[in-house]
Amino acid sequence: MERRKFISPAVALGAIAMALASCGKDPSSSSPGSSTPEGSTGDTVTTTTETDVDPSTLPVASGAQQFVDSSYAERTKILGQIEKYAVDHALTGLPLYSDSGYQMINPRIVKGVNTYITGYGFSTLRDGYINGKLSGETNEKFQNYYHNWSANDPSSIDAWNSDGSEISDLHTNVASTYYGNRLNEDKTGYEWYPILATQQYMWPVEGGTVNKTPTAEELHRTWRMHVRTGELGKVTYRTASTLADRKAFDGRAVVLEDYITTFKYMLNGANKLYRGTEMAKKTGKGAIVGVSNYYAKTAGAGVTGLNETADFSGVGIKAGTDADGDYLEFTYQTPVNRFFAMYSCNSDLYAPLPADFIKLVGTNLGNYSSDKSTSPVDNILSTGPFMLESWETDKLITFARNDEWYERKENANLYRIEGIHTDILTGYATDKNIAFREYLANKLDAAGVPSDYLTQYSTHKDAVSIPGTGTWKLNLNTCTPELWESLFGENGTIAKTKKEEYWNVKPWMSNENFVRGLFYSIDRQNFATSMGGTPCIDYFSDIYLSNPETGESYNSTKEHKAALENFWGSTVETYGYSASLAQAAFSAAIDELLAAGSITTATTEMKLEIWWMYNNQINTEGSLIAGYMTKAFDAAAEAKGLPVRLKIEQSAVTQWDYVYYDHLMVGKFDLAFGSISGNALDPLNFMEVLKSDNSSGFTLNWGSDTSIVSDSENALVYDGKRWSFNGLWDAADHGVVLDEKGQSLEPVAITTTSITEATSSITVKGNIEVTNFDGLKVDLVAIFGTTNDKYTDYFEVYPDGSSGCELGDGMISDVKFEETATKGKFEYAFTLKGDLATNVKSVGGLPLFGVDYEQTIKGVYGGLKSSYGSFVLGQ
Amino acid sequence: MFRYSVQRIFLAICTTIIILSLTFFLVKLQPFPAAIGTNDTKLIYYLHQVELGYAVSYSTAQPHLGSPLFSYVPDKGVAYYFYQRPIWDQYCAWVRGLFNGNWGTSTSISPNVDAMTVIVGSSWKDSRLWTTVKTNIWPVIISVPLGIGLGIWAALKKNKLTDHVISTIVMVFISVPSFITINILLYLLSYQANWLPSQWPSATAPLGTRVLGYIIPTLSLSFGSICGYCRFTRAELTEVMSSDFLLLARTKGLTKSQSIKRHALKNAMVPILPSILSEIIGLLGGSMILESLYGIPGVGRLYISAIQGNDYNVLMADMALYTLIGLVSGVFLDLSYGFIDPRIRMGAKK
Repeated sequence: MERRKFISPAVALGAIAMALASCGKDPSSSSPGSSTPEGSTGDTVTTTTETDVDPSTLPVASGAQQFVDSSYAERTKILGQIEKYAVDHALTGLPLYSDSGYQMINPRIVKGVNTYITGYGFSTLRDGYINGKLSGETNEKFQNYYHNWSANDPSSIDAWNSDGSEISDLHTNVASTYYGNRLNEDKTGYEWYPILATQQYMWPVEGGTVNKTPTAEELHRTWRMHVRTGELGKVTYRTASTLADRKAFDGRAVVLEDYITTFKYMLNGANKLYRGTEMAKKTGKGAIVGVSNYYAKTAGAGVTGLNETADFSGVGIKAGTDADGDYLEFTYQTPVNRFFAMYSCNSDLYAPLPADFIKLVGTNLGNYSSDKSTSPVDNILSTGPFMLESWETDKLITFARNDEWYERKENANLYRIEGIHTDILTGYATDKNIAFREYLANKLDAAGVPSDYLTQYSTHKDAVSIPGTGTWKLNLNTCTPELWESLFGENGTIAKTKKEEYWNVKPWMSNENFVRGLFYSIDRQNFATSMGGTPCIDYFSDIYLSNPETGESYNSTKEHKAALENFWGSTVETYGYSASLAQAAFSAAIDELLAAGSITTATTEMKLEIWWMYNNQINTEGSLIAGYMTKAFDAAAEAKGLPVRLKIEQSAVTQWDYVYYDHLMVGKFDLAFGSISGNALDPLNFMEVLKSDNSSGFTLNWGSDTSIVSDSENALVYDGKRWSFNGLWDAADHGVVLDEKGQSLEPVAITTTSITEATSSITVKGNIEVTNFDGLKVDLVAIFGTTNDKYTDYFEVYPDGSSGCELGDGMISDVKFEETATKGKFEYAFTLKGDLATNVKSVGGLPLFGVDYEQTIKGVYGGLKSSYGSFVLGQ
Repeated sequence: MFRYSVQRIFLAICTTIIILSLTFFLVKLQPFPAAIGTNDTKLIYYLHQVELGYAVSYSTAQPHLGSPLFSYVPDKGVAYYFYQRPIWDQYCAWVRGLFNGNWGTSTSISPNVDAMTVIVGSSWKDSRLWTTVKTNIWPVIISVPLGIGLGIWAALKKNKLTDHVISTIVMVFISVPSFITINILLYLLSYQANWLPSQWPSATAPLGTRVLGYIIPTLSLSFGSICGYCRFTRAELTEVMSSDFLLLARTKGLTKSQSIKRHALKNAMVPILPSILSEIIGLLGGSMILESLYGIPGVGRLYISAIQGNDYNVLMADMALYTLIGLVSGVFLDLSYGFIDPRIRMGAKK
């Protein structure tokens, strides 16, 4: 392999560290050429100095690896390397434009801050005020309300049972969170501050001891926060309902039990609440212990509303009182740092609710009653700066300011706007300009500038630029026919397709130069201007943060810039457009395709199929895109004197989201329009959507196996080692054990050495082997087994010699569980008896048999895991 | 006549049942709306579908039911295999609900609310149906006399300048689609002149604003009706006026005015009056485009919204209501012919 000058990401860090040192700043975290990630383990990550390094000579990362507790800076470096690899391998799709745009804001609105703060906004409702009349508002009462709009009336503010953002957005107006955002001191950004909580950060609790001064990066599972309760807490329930039984709650102080009541209601499986189910199914980072079990048990009990007899003690959400006051304590399944401890339990869904209110309104909470005799106004309580005031179906929703809100009472300069007036503009479905016309008619305080009006209004004095929340892309299917077959064929690992419905995989789509030509061919500046967006080649929008505590956007980091420059080179300046580079790439692609026999000199047509969300995109975006691509390709072919031309066929799905599950997710496309957004506070975690194993369920680009460690010049390198995309992502997200090829490895194996059948019993003997890796700690929890999918005879055998079975006591005896002289090797034995033995015999073994264990990598707990073995009678 | 009426009503009920059943099966024969996202997200979605009665779940695969809509097979724990609930089962459950007066609950348009209540509301104030009626009644009140009057005028001035002017205006307005009329009215009267509200005013708006809010819907719905009545009346009256019996009336010494009032108009109204009745019944249907563009919270676009939101219960309640209204109005129209024209009544007796 040709050696090339390889500059590791650490070089840049080293250079910056030196620069900082020369500026008199503290360079202690780095010295030139090396850095140590901050964390509890103290393990040193050796970084490479500026030198000529051939990536293929670097060792493959193996063994127990985790960077979960790395500092934000170090995680940004990892993200930079992962992004670079993803862009190089076309995993991030073909970026088109950012959904940023312009918004007109009525001059009567005095914003909290004049410059839009990414991820936060203008702080209008909290810090702004209204300075003038809205001439289009004929109702005097609403003159000083902030007038916004919505395209639909969701007819509900029941955020616990909604899967969209419409209802959640309304609910945030009336429900507070434990922590929130506010403008920082100099109004250049935002900061987190306690709202229902009373302390700046949550405190970790270890062995009953509270640490009141945790560092930013230390990881713990149990975190405590003190919350506002009682008269001193200054938070009271508010309602604008005129019904006497609802009015009785108006002004009542929040008590500690109300915080827990919310979780009891939400997690009651019998209520089948969308967000409750979602919380119960959550695993990994931010999941709370015991939630899943509580949900399952209450679902079976069938008591809707509040199940007051269900045992909540197993749930990792506790309330209590200590010397500092009333507190809530959350225990997570895996350790998190202080920011994610706060962030993971921070939702308006968790705002307190009084039990007697839930009993009063029942399933109508947040909704109209079934006969519409009560409305959401009657069936919700406010614990925030606004309260739901009126609801007129398909017409208007208003929120009045809560004058008792403690922040306003403490500071009269906050929440000066008297209310929120949300017009429902149903005509938006057929007329995308309707909101803007309403704004121009002085009936709204803000509206986005639609593309029809961009030329006229983008430079208007009242127009402000709003950064996008996402980047629209053409996703790529660069699979070879063989890879496509393995992923999507009859026995595909991602989706199964009937033979007659196989996608016609185009050989040129797996040609690197051809794809590169497509990337360079698009004049994004011109395209975005035509479409009313902003040209963009970033994978993330600016709202994705490399440091959620400081609000630093990942796109502003040197790691991101390096990742882009590696692929796009000088075309970064022109948003990835270069007619000459596109032509050169296509020219090289044609040569390679001719050499490979994919085309001949007589070929006249190379077809590509693009799928869009909407029909009208074909003649707008599609027409431009096809023009750019064919122009560059055809020029390259013409220059070679070849008759081949690029033919682009475009189609649209009948419903916009079908493009995802009829095409993108099942590999039936060459290029398809679509985008996925995720948690903007953890972009590294979001990169899971690029894994080729589709572990996130949202992989949209196919063609590269991300489990393989590359040995090319584009190998993924970090910490002086080569990684697979999956391996480094796993290590950074939750920790992983890798074999010598860099593939994920199960460190625990269970085998049976003998299964002896007697008349009424079965005696089992076997081994459990734990592979020893530096930094890996495994705690065996239980051997488990069951004969059926319903788990009616599920049993567990524990290392202490005890056992348990769903069928009852006396089903298991003679338990032995011992570590042998060989470190990491255990011998086990147990005898199955009674009905359990009978059932095992009847099905010829245990279809599900294995061992549970807890894994800790380099001091970071990785959660409960399972390893499966085989258990068949008669073998 | 009574027997005829009973027969017609019976047939209307049968037709309603057939239409609703066909609608139910056709709607349910659409591909099952799929979920998107992670397996957990999909599991939540399909569990909700089970809760709504649209899907069934099993802990083991059921090959005899075909391919599952979604299967959730965790490494450890309960497996779920979701299948569409047999359509016949769903239909039976729906019919059973109807016998108990239960139209089901809205799932997306107005979650938690009875499907029929979504349409008729809990009170007049809150009723989508009433909103539609009160918006549409003014165009009828205006367009019937104006349209018929213009039609009579044009017929009386047949082939003269007045007739040509009226006919030209009628042709122009009858050719312009309603959404163009609405947008022109909005642009001129609301956004440019600022005389009228650009959206249907809220119930909390001042009385004056609410009254002004009727003008654009009334105008936009009236143009077409006025032109329709005008053209229809002109055609009928012109035909009657050229008939032999009217000539006979004139030869017997009646003045032109007398012959028109006593004979021509009366005969011309025979086909026109039932169409007025039809128009009045049509009030309940609403205008999808007008209600959408002008933000009128009526029933006009409920049908489309229910289809888009997979709100099957509201869709079926809406369908049932309007099928019934359509068929009952058909019965009334048929019966009304008998009252208006004695010859038809006599025919029925045979």
